[in-house]
Amino acid sequence: MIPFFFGSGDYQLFGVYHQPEINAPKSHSILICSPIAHEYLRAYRILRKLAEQLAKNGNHVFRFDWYGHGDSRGSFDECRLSIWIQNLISAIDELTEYSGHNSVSIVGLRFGTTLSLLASENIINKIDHIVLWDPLFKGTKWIEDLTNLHSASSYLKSGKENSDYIERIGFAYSKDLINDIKDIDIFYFDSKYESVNIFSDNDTGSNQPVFSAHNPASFSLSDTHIFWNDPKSFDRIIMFSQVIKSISDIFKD
Amino acid sequence: MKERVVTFGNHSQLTGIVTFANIQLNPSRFSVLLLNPGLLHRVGFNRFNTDLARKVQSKGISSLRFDMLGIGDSASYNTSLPYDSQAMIDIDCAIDYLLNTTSSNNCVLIGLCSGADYSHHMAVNDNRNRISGAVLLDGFAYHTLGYYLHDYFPGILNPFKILRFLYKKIILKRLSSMRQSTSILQPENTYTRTFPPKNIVINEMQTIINKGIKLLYIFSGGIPLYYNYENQFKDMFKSVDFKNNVTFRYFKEANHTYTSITQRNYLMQIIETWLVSLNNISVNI
Repeated sequence: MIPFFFGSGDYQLFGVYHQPEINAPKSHSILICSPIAHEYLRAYRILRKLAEQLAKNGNHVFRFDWYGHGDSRGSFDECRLSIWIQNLISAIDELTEYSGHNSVSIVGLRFGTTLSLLASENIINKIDHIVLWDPLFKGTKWIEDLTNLHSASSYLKSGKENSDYIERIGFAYSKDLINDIKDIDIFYFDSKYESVNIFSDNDTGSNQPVFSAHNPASFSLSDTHIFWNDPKSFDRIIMFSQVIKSISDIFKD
Repeated sequence: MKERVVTFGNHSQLTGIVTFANIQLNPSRFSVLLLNPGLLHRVGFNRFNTDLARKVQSKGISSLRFDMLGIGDSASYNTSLPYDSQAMIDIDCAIDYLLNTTSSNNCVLIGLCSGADYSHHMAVNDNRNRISGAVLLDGFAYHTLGYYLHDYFPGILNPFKILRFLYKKIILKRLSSMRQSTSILQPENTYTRTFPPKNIVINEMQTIINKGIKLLYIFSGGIPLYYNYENQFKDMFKSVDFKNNVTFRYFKEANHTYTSITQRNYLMQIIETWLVSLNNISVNI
């Protein structure tokens, strides 16, 4: 496991490369895209476990912190979708440099899935396979869930709202970012990739987009549910999910 | 701002980020070690550790935020040692690394929850004068007469609170004994913890103070099972001679992980001011 900063200056990002632990007949390069804001914090541990499992099966794996998150530069109130999409493209470059492959697969979780789908439109030739874990397809739904979660917490009822930003679960969303997110509506998903797998709990599964006829997407309900929108657990770390095994099986040759 | 990803310790198993002080300032004599809050990785609750590290670097203070074994990006915890013993070894190692890397004389430990507990134990047991201060967020707490008065008294004249009290004490107690999982019965973000005996903590706190280590205790409103009024700290530890080395605050409106931005900014301001005062640097806040 190699942790390092990449990118430069004010847009420097933190990333971790996991080398393959065995010589697999066909190794993949897999980029893990984490959720954003409070869900990023909750998912850090489980995504590291996923990365380790994928590397154990002989894959090159890279995970990173979005701009304004974790150890990367920037603050959350400066974040915009365009910056995160650029982050994802830079992360693919880092990963391919390490692996020597020309293309990558992406595993996204929650808002990481949204960003993966948005970014992939610009880099179709670089993507083999895409896995969406508890995906988010509609920006308005995300904002609505976030607002409900925020209002349900007795400690957050007096959340700040001013002309510059809206506070949701400990993070300051700029009005521009909120507008960016509201515009997201992935209602038709015409995959250009080898395959798409979706793992979801009931909550997000009902919001899946229409898939085109030639799209080899498979949809699975996960056995273990992560209660993303439960006010009692919005700051609880996710310790375990059976989805890890299901995802690592996809990349096991 | 200069930050470096570092790995250190036995077989470089520990991972962290050093944030170097702004070199245009007079560098501080001490640096800051930011500990994991429970199982959360080194960036801290709502990224507090990262934000604080970047804020205080502009005041001439370097820092290290790192993951103990089994957390974040450090190696898995698979030693035969009990977890708490291993954590103390990791922190001990991180202090040495921080002091060497930043050329500081000593350091201030900052920790929330289990991080506060480890800071306390480290401050007691360090015999090499490497620790000059500690910020303990939601550290050890013990019930006092005042705690019970604040918990029950507001309900004495309020029939709804009496009913709620009876509901909590009788119905919920029975329900919880019938169920394996009590999660739906617990109030939002209420954390249950076990503390060492009070008399031991009092003796250890006196030892820390006698060493000249400065202490900043901050309690949040997110641990109502243990702490519920402004001066509870003073009442809990009234037998300790603080020698002007101890400061305490109560953030009644904050939850355990300071999710509210207003509360978090206030917390950061208090800690920053306190750190700067240790360094005798004047700052306008």
